[in-house]
Amino acid sequence: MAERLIIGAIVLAATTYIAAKVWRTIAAARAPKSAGCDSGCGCEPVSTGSASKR
Amino acid sequence: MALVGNPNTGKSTLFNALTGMRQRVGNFAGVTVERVEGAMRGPNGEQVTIVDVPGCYGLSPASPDEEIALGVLRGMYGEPIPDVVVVVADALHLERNLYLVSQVLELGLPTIIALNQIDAAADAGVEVDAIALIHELGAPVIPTIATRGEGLDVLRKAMVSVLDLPLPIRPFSLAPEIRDALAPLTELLAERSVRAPFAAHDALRLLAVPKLESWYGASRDVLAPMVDEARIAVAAAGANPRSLEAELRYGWSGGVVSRTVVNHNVGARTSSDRIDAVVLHRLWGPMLFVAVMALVFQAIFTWAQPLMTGVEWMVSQVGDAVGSLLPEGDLRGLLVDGVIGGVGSVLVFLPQIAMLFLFIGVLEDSGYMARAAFLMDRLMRRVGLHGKSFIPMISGFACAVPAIMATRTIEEPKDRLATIMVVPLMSCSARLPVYTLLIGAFVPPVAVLGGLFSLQGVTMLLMYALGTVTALVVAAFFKSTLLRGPVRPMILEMPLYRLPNLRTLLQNVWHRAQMFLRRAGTVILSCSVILWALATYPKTDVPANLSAEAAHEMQLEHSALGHIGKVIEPLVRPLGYDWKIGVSIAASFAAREVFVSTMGTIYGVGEADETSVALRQRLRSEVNASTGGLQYSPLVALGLMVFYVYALMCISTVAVTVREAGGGRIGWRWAAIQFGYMLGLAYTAALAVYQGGRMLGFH
Repeated sequence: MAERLIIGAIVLAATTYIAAKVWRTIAAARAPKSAGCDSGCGCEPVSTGSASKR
Repeated sequence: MALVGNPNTGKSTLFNALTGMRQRVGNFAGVTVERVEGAMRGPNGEQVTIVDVPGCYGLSPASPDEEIALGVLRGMYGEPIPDVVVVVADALHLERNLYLVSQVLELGLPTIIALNQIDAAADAGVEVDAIALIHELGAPVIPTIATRGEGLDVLRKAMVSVLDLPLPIRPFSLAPEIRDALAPLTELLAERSVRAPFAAHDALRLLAVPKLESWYGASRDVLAPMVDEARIAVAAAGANPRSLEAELRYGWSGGVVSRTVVNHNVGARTSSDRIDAVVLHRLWGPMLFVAVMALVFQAIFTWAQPLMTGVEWMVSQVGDAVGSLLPEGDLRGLLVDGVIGGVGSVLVFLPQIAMLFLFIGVLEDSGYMARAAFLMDRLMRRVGLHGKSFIPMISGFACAVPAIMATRTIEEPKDRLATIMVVPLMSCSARLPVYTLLIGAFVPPVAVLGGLFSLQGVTMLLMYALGTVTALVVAAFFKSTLLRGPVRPMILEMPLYRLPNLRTLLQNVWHRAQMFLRRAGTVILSCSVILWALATYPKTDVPANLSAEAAHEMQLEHSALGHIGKVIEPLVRPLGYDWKIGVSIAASFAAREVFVSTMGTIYGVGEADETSVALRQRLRSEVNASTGGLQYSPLVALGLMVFYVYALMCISTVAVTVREAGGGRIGWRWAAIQFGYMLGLAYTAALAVYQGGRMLGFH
């Protein structure tokens, strides 16, 4: 039973993560004109301090 | 504080040096196409926000990236006007850079000139008298070498002290009759400008602008006739209104350079000139380009192989260790088959990804990227675009998302849109695991072309070439139909060649590797977990007399994934695929690499023994239960690779296409066209390969 609960929680977390990721990606289509790349493909800058892109 | 300047003057390198960030840099114009903000500590410990913007040659934007720069500088689109502007000027090409400097100075904002790349200028025999330049410009000039961090302390101090200096003014004066001719327009602009100096700047600038920019909004109706009147008045004063600004600014910058710059090598051939004699040669240039590309893909396949085998071994060891530690049950199945089987099958391609980005970094940093664009210009013209479109296309080998954003450097909207539509045809790094898996499994490692290349490397090159050639054909189609328009001449700056900075290169590769690992640990991990659950449940009653392999197959076929696969199978059967490939393709709409992880999960679930076997070997030896023959053949693998060359299976690319193609309904319409034509092309081409191959006797 405990094993099933753990598996259920992991699968639910993975599904929620993917759904949120898809939603965020589609929402990026409405980003402003000067917005940058946040696709997670490795093109965003690495920050060692505070940074933001609009 | 805003960092502005001509393209390829080292703004992003300076930005990185000041903020400690690692914004992308490269030795070609148009690397930065977005607004990036960072923070640094000032000399007195205060926090300073720095904004890095795309390069621009002047303050009349010709392309979307230049518009972003202007938005930051003039406080448009909700931006605050910067307290301090640092104009990064290339010491080697000072005369051209001073055009923008003169425009920024007359905006009347506290301005500092960072005279960058003074080392490259000195190497070329060019010496700039910075003190004399300060007097000429009436603003602080700080010599810097951003790549080595030289001059940055002085620059930091100047960022504070410049606030106590008088504001800069237009560095040249207008003839009284010109000033009078512009007076009515200047007054009108002053009433509608947020800052008075902007009005004087605009009055001169608008004389040459063919169409008033959108940021003037409703004022355009009032302004347009006034600009026309100003042009008439300027012409009556004996000047050409269209060229007046350029004549005044270049006249002034020529004078400044003659008084502040000494060139010890006038007319001498530089080492870049000598290299270009070969690299840009009509015959040798294209041959060298093909040879470079062949070397890159050969290296990606063969040099990374030992490392790949090492990662493969590590993944299998981890899988075996976890499998032996946990008791039999679904949790062990989830961790070993779902997580390690899925994520591990993608992780093994990390060496190839690192190698690809290393080579892309070398091409970008050395200055070859701009030459490749120049070489391709003639070919690009035939399809209705110009060489500038080729830079985003090459960037597409890394990732289509930044490549589509890189089209912001293209001035003509129709050319830009045509480039956006074809960029995803360039094989991005996410396709690399798919190609490598299938080539490694089905293409023998035999030597070809006298042992110079292996068949595997050549196959990989052919996949990339197929995408590139198709991109050109499709671009020609768009440019002759929906996006018909004239081909404009290309103006492209050729940067000096330089040895790539090893530290920057390795940092970039490390950054990309981190991103790949993060993606593997998030998206691919989550997809693997979901697919494992779909492949495991619901449980079915397996007859006890079945062999372990047959029991596994039966459970898989009766799982949710099996049911989904059977629904998809009729669609993919004509391409030679079974339901397992069908669901893997469907799952890879989340991310292309998920194809590999899904296959890894499918072939991991319920393995007869719990020892991990490399996915490549599993695919090679997979037996078709009904025929008794091998399930997958080189022909199926080739068709599958062709499918992945063409299919647009990336939500991020769709989203960025929507945004960059105009947003809203127009953006969605173009994204739908792009997705539809690529999927249609993928299906048709894969069908042609499989059915055509069978007709020719291949299996």
